[in-house]
Amino acid sequence: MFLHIFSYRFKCLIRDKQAMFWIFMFPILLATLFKMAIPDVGNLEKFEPINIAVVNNVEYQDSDAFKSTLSSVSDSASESNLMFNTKITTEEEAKDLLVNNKITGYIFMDNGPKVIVKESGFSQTILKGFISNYLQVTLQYNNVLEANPAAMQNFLSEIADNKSYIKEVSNTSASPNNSLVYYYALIAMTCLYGGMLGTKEVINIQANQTPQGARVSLAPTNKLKVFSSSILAATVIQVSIILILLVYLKFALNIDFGNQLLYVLLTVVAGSFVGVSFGAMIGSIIKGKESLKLGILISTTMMSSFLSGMMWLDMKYIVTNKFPIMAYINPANVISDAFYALYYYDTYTRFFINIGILFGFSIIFYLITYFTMRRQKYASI
Amino acid sequence: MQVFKTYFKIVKKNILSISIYFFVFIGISILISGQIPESKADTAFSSNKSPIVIFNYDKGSNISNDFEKFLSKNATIIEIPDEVESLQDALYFRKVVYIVRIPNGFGESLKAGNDAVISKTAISGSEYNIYMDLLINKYMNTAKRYINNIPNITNEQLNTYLEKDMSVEADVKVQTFGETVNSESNIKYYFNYYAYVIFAVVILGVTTVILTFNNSEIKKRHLGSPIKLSSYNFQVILGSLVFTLIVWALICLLSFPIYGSAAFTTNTVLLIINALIISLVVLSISFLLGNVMKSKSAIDAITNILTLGLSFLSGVFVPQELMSDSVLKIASFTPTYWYVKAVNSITSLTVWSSENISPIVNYMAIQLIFAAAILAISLVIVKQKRSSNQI
Repeated sequence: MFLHIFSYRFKCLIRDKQAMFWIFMFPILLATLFKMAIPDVGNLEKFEPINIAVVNNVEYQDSDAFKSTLSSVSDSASESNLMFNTKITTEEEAKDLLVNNKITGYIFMDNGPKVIVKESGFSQTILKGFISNYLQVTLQYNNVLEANPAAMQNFLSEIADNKSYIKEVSNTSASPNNSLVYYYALIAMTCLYGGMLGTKEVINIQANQTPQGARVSLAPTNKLKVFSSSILAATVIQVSIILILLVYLKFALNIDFGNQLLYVLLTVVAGSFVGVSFGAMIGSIIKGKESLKLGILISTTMMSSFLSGMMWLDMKYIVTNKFPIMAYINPANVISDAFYALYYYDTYTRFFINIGILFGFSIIFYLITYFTMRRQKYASI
Repeated sequence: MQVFKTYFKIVKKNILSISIYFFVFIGISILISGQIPESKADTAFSSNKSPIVIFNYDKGSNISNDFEKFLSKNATIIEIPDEVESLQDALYFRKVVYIVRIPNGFGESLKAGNDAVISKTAISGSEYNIYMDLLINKYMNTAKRYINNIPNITNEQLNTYLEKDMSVEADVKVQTFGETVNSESNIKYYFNYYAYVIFAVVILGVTTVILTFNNSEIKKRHLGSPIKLSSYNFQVILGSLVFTLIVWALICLLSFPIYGSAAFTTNTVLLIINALIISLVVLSISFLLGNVMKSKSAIDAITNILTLGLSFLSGVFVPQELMSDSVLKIASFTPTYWYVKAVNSITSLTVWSSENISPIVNYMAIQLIFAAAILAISLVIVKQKRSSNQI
């Protein structure tokens, strides 16, 4: 009996075109759009040598100190020091390059280096910082010369030999690639869309909703038994759909989930449980037609995906910091946070808290479903 | 005008599902308008300050304290408790891009000539990282050179020298070349998102009504009624147009209370005209969908793919300048791409010359061509359906 219902519900669900579109096709399409539109943050922030020009005038020709300082961070410099791609041009050429956005700015020697740019920005700030540094060293040279002329030799050798006073310490092995939040929220949304299957299973045993429900209610079988085998079919479908989505994300779109396959699977199962049980709960407590139930399900799903950062990345951070409770009771956020913790943290505490919350949610949702549906009788339908 | 009246009766029945998008949009706009700082077009250069966190565990040392002061002048200091998780979160969401830790005894060991290092946590390979490294090493190397080359330098002397040196800054001139200045107002985001909302709301509203009218039994009844077909069609089209105009007007009007004085500019007039044009494109798309599609659920699916797809592809959500060229090439076959391009040009418009305005007019014209082409296709389909007796 159990297997019979399971296999038939399984077939019914995967032939439901509408549900399959929303749970299966829609997330894959959306992920593809994300991939096309959302720039790879790693590349966006990555430092690229800045294109600049120097106006080749008499003062530049005569300023050996400036020439050598500039060339130490320009084209000939080793890769770790390379900051600028420098072109030596006439003033007209430099202006032309700037107008056409070929360079960030140019240096014009007129009683010391002056910088000409088109707008304020980060590359411009770096260029300014570099020139300021040059001026500051010149000033220091004068200061030292005044205070202790004997040390000049040593001072000059120290200028040539800049030391680094910084040691990098990292708390994690993963790079903080924040565009992943979009994909994590997308997976969370897909998990919650699985609620459609849960709702469909519920209306399928409610006599006032579907003819099948009426027929099932007549049958001399325990309703709980029927329900649990059909909800199992829904969960199995949901888990497989999410797995396909993950495979697509990982291999077709190159999205990184970290390397802990088993933990990823655990998250998928927990997420699917929450999704299906959430749908079942909505299906049981909302009185009304199927379209109303599904409408409420989809709008709550969209709202929780939004709050977990699917449309606007910063939203997740704002909610987590300003309304921490909201972050914990929003199932979409808990699912995406589990992926985030798995990818980004080297410890598992936060991950397991999330997984625990997810299973806790499913239990609560199923209990609510159970208590609303049990002993439901229909005087007339 | 019975048909026209019925049109709005149907809209009224579905007002809840239609208005969801509308309210979510308004909510998001209000949220975002408070979050993104306005950047003003300026002829003076302003340095970019990166958000950083400093933990000074060497409060006893003047050298370290002066260094902390130097950093706070050159970066925006964010206060975050020294807990691994909150720091990691802040770094991930770019609330900070660089975390500096000055270890206990740093000042003393720098002075004594021992190995003194500051630890940092940053986004490796990023430009913030390079710049902050540059700043810190510059300061430290300068300090170290004073310590090494001026014997018995006191901490006060060192600080005076450093403060003086570091206050010297390069002379940077911002030169504008008689073109538009890069100014960004949040109203730009509002009108970019407008494309998404108008697609969602109008397609949903118009197709719902047309689908109801196209129900074959209702249609047969209409054909049997003593009303001219042309008048019937006219009223349906008029209804759709009025519905679209109402949504357009509502959203445009709301920009005034949300953005206040920023919205009262001549640029806003152009933005509103541009918004009207894309609304006409959406109207023709809805008309097409309403006549081609047969079921409500198919329309829901298409609406979502179309609105999200167009929005993501053409830069409604993600700024166009961040997208790759190949994606933009594909996007140029969509009307929203031209809409967003027009919004961007309008918001950065400062000089009203024909040279600056004509590309905007071109972008609008392209959208109108889209509208006309789609409308033509849907009229052909409607005609064909009627002549082949498919009711």
